[in-house]
Amino acid sequence: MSNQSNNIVLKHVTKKFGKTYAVRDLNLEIPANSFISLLGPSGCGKTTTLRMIAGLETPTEGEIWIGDKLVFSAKEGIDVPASNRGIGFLFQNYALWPHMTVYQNIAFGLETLKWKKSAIQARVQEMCELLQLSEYIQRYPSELSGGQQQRVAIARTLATNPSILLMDEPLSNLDAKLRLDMRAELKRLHSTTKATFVYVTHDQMEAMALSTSICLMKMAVLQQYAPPLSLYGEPVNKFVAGFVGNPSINFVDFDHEQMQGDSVLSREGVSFAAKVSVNKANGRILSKKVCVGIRPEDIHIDNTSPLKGEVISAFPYGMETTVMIRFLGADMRSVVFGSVDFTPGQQVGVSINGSNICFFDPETEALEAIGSMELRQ
Amino acid sequence: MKKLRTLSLILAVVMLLGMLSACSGKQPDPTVAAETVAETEAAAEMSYDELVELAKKDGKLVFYGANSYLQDAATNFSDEFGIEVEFTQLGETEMIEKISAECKTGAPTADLVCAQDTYRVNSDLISTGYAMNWNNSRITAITGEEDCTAVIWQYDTKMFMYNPTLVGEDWAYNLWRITDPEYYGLFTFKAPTSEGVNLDMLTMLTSDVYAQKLAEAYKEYYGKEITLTTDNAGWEFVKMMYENGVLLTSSDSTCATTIGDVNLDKTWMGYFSTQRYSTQESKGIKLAYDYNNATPFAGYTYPVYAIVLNGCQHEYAAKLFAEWLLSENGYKAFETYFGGFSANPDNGYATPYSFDDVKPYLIQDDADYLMDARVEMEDFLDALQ
Amino acid sequence: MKATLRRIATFLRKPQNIILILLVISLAYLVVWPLVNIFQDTFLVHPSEVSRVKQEAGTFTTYHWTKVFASSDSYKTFVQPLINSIVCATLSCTIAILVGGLFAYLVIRTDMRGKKFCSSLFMLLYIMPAWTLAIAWTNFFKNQMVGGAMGLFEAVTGLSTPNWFAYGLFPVVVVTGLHYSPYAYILIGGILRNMDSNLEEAAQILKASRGRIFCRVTIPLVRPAIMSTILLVFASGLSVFSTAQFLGLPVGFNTLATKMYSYLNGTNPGRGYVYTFVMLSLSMVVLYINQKMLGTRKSYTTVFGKSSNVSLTRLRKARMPISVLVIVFTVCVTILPFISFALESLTKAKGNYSLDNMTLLYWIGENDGIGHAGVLRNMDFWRSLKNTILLAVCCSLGAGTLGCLAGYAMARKWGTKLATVVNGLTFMPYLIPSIALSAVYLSMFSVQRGIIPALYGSFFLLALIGTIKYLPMASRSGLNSMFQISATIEESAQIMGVPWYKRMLRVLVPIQKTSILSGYLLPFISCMREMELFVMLYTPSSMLLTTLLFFYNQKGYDQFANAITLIIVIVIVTFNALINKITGASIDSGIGG
Repeated sequence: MSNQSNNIVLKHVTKKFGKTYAVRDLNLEIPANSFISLLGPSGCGKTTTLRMIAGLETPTEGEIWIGDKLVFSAKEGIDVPASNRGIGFLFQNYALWPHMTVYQNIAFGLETLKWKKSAIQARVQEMCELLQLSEYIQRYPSELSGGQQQRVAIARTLATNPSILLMDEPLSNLDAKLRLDMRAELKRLHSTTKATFVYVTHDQMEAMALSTSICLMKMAVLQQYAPPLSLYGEPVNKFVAGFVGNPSINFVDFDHEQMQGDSVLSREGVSFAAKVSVNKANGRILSKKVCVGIRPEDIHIDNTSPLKGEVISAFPYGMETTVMIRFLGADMRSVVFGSVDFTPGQQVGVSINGSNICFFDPETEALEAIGSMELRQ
Repeated sequence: MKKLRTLSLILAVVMLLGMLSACSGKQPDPTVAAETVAETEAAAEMSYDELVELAKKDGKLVFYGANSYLQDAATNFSDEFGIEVEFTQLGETEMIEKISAECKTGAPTADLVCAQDTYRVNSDLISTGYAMNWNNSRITAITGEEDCTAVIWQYDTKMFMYNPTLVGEDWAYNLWRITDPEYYGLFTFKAPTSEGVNLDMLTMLTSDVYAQKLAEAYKEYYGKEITLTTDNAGWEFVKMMYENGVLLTSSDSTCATTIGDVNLDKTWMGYFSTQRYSTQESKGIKLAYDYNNATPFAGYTYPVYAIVLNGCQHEYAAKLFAEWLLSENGYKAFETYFGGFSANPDNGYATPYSFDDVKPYLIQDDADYLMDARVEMEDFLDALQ
Repeated sequence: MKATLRRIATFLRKPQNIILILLVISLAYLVVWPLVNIFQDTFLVHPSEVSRVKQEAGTFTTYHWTKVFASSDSYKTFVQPLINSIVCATLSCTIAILVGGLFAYLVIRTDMRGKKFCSSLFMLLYIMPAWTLAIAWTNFFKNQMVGGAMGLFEAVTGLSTPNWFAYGLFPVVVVTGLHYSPYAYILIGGILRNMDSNLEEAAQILKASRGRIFCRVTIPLVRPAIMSTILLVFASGLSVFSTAQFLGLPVGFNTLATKMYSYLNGTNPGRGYVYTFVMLSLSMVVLYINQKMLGTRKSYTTVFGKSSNVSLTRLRKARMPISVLVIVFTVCVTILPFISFALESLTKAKGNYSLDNMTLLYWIGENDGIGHAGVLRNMDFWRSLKNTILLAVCCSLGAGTLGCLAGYAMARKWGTKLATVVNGLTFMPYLIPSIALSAVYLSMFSVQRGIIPALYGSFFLLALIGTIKYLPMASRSGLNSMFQISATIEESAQIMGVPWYKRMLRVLVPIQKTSILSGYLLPFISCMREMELFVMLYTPSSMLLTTLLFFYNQKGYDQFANAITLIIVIVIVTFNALINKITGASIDSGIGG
């Protein structure tokens, strides 16, 4: 099933629609057997990237390699058609053929490969069992529910054993419960098929949960390509930090000055000493002002803390509670574990601790350093 | 509630409408027709001046006809009597249809119609009672007819013509050439389904007299007696003509341009209105006919009728027009109409020969025979096409 | 009792119910009753048949049916024309779908050049009356085998066209097929344009070849469009009269429609009605097969994806040749006819296209030698032009408004029996051949019936029959546009107590303005170029451009006929462009929805 030729390399790939860039100078190496997510807000170029890998869209510039085969090169005029790239593609709206039954939909690709009739039958049966579709085999797509249609689409794509599977937001049309089930299904499929999965989504939770690496894009440009947790812990800029994580990160601007070799951050008359870990990013805060990114889990409700805040609102989810607290003149999100309830207006003590606090240059929005901050008495 | 009542009222009215209209149509009232007859008989004694007087009182005349020269006649009539005339030129078949439909309503828009299809005039206008039965001794004295239901004011002619480029102006032809396989597809005429007088002509061929003549001509052409697969030589001629690639067109003008092109490498023949002979120069074509060189006949002559319609609005103007068409002034517009002859022999004509000169060489129509046989011919042709 | 009354009152409180009921009643009278009449007429002796049937007028007879089906001439007069009609309709369908479908594919799915130019020119084929194409065909391809002067083609190339090419089945089929190909283009193009290209891409990724994708995926997906094109073109192809008359007469090529016309206009209308009945039944059969084949299980709602970016197929090396070919073809079938009309209207002697044979006599001359003034100085022409435009406006207002209301009411009550009945009724006139419909209207309205006066000769009758005949187009476009508005939009106004007419005028109509206007445009244009429907019903006082043209054709006044044809087409094109410019409505959105 899997082989060494299912890695994907994109070199300086650019796609322009008219004068606007859909993808701009993208370099990406997707290792064999990995599960990569292309993540970003809508219109960032992630679907275009996926379609270019598939051969459904022609890049304006650049090269694309699949395995050791050059499948696209603008310079050399190479453009291997989609059918010869050895990929599978799962469409957002499933793209099931309405005039064919479930069986016919799944068998189509096998027929194209000139499989024997009995082999086709066996394979379709196998796929249907795998995806629990056996009882719907003679139905037309319009007679199936969304989840069933989705499974047919997956069965159709997997039937031919592609070593690379490209998926364009395949779960976005499903309801929340079904989506969670299908996530598990996909992860299971990835481990059984050992194929390379490239997955497009705008849902950062999904990307975090599924992928081995995430490629986060914004306005045609690659922002960061890293495993989910490094994306979360070490975002390269404010955008990445803000896009990943739920509830999302808090951004607060501080004035910054150097005092006896210490970085001192102050705001609303309260000052903090910033300690940066030298091995992360530049390791130094240089700008006069700094934008500090604090994850909600790093803001604690601690009534022993001298820092006081006021509860604005609280969202209890059962296992955890998200609390909006106004302190330092800003509204900040905090997460409290367990079923704790708060009344709006309630005064609470707040502390900030954690070693993954991000310091951004407010001008360039780039990450300057990562570290911790301590209240100066 | 008020809204509801209005609605149900509307519904009821609409339903009533539907039911009423489902009942049979209103037929023309026979008593009204009888009255008109009585009235018109009184008018028959009317002097010309009296008629003019009443016509002027009518003040207007609406009539249809198939001949474009009638437009000039209309202008002349209007100039002479100060009566407004509205003339519309229509195709013959269409005209009969329209007149029938108008008369069926009981109040035709047209007062008079100039028609030429003897059969349709009889079957569609006279026997249905749409044509007014009236009398005028001045007219009948000229036409020799019993009454004025259908005033014959003109005899028009159609000729078997040919392209003289290859055979010369005085070519002597035998009509059976049309059926000769050697000359396959070299004959054209206007489709009889859309030209009643052509259907009339074909029907007349099957009458005893003309069938006999055709049989004789056959012997002359092929040098043997005709073997019949149909009733007589007339039917046989029509059948052979159709089987020999006759070209049916939609108009006499098309026939003329079809056969008359100077570049044709074969001699074409056609049967159409004699009038087209006179317009050949303006169309850049060559046409010829030589009536006393043709075997067994050179063409066909048929009467043109002026018919006053029952229930019309300008009865006297119509009657005056019918009478006036026979007069010198009335026929003036047609003196340049080539191939047409006034029913009044005193009037002028455009051909170098008179009606009496040409008549013996022409097929003439016979209303009684047409009434008998035309339907048969229609079905016969229908099966041939 | 009281409860029943209350229930009726509730039912009638909804305007859509009232509209539907009124439509059922009036269409029953104007569409169904004529059909009953036709059937009845096949068993009656008509006045002009007395001498043939030898029975009194108005009595019962089986003469007509026997004549058609069981006489010795049946094969020649019925079976042969029937075969011709079916062959003609079938081949026309095929041509329309091949040409229109290919055109749609090239314009919408490939990177061909000159798309805009081609697609707007291509619509001319539909805008132009079919018989003008037939006239153009004879102008071009007339050969000397049928005598007369040669056509333009022979004059230019020196090549004589074979007879089968100039006359008969072949040109009739080609002309009819071409005329209806914009139909196919619009219907198939509409689906191609909106079709989710993922459906094809999915097959592509499964390694299916281009041909296989086309046959197994694309074609089946556009099948509903193809089916409705087949239905529309087949029904029209069956009743093609004028084209068959122009191109078939010289070689004795007859179809059911030409036979029907000659019987209706001749002395055996009863037999003509039998033909009408047969043609109608054929259309019904096609309609039935169509419905059956479409089925219900394979719902095509999933066809329309939300991804609007249709990826264009790159023609690569073939791009230039194909573009040139398509452009040349489009120009040939649309622009060349215009040139031929202009040329023919200027030549004195036929077939001679030298400059000294050109004259403006037939345009602005005082007299052509037999008493006709040039077209532009001809009172008949101006009167006809005025009548034509007036009639087109009336029919478009009538059909458009009715269609819009019908569409509204049907959309609101979709799925109910009443709506289904109305939907069927509004489509019926499409299946009734124009000539037959006018023949029935002629007999229905030529005498006073109940409180309905004799309408023959009135302009109203022409407007009425036009409204009914074009209702199918208008109601389909109305239905389409109303389907696109969710009922909630109207309901939100309803809750605020806005009365119905205000909801229509202030909410629904403005939202679907262009779409509704297209529903008006289509009847307008169809009416402008209609001949068959009016040729029996017009009177000299209501002469129309097309009937004037018919008359000129009958008389063989070719230059006048060509001049009028040119004018008709120019007038239609101008109006179409004008309306399109001002309102944004266009015929394509009218048909395609």
